[in-house]
Amino acid sequence: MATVPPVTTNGHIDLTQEEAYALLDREAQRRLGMSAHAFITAWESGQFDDDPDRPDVMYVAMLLPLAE
Amino acid sequence: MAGRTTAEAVQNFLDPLQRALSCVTHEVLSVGGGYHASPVNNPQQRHVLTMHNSPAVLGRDRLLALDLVQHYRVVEGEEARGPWKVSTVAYYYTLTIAATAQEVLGYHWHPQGRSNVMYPHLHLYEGAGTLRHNLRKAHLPTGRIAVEDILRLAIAHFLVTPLRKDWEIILAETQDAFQQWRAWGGSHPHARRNIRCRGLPMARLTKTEAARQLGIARSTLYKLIDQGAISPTPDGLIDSTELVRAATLVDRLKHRSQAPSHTRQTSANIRDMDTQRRGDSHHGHVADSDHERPQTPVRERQQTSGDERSQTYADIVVDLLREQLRKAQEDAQQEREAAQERERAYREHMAHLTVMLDQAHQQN
Repeated sequence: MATVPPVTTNGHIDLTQEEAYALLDREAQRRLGMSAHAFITAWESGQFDDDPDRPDVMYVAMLLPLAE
Repeated sequence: MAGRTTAEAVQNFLDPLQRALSCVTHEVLSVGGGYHASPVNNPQQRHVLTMHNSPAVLGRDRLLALDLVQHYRVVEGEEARGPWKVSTVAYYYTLTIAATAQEVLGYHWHPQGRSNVMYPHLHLYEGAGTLRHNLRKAHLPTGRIAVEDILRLAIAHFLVTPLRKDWEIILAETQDAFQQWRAWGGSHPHARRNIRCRGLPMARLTKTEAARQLGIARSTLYKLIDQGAISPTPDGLIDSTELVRAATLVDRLKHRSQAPSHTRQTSANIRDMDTQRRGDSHHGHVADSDHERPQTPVRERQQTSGDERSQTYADIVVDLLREQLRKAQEDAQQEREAAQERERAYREHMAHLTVMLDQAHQQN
């Protein structure tokens, strides 16, 4: 079970870079069975281009800016 | 949402969202990317908003769950909407059956993703069958939809065979004309290549991304820029409104490059097309006598001669033809490989059957 970062006094969670990447990695593992790194490589090389609208793929792809 | 500082703008953006979510879930929003302003020269840079535990189970009955991701940028606003504001640039909302994680429906908008679909859209997934009794009465929110959108949907995704080969061009043209005059904003401006949506922020794209969105090579994009069909910003980026402006032209060029030889473009019809383009971009309406639409005045050409312009368009068509040829060659190669694979599998199958037959004979 991933550790949940603390909620700020403003009522939401501010993810650090490490926490953001961990979230991406967790979701890639859980939904697609691959690491964040593997997903990024596959995504950028066009391996999902046949069906980029698959909901699980699209969801993880939407999290990609967390790795930047 | 506006703020005096970038942090305040983000906070003013997040607070109502968290409050809205609190109606159905205790999940807390997570934000990646901090509060800093989004660089103008890098439209790809965006902040991410999601829920830390996703999908978030909804309501007391816990039947449905929600996946939510938004991309937003922190940009300078004007006057009352400033000095800083948050602009949403992509979203992903998907409802799932909580117990099975089966998707029911999704509202998505990801104009800069790898998908070809750049307009906000709705998916119905297999899980919708589970909720079919609810769906019968549900009024799924959308933007207003043009007739062309429904016709295109029926043809492209639901196996309706069109009665004419040029249906894509016809639908693009009629919808384009309609959108010039309609009073309401739309969620699906397909005829304008699905880039601009009323009320949504315009993105600035790199030339590579702009070429990708138009479906043309970068060299072709440069020619369109040289031609004046697309104007980059001073920092070398392409505003998506420019793509909207050029989309019709590119569609026509592609169409002409695909047309049979007897209708393939000549210098004359290239110039005619140029005239239409100018009418389109400056007056907001395309003249087309076949459809009895209003004829708009044609502005005089100012800088280059007709021949030079025609040559440029001819170059672009050549580029497009090359791209299509390359793609056709790739498709043919893939088809050959698939056929070889089928042949190989067939031979193996036959060999296997022969062995089995021989064995059966021996046993008898």
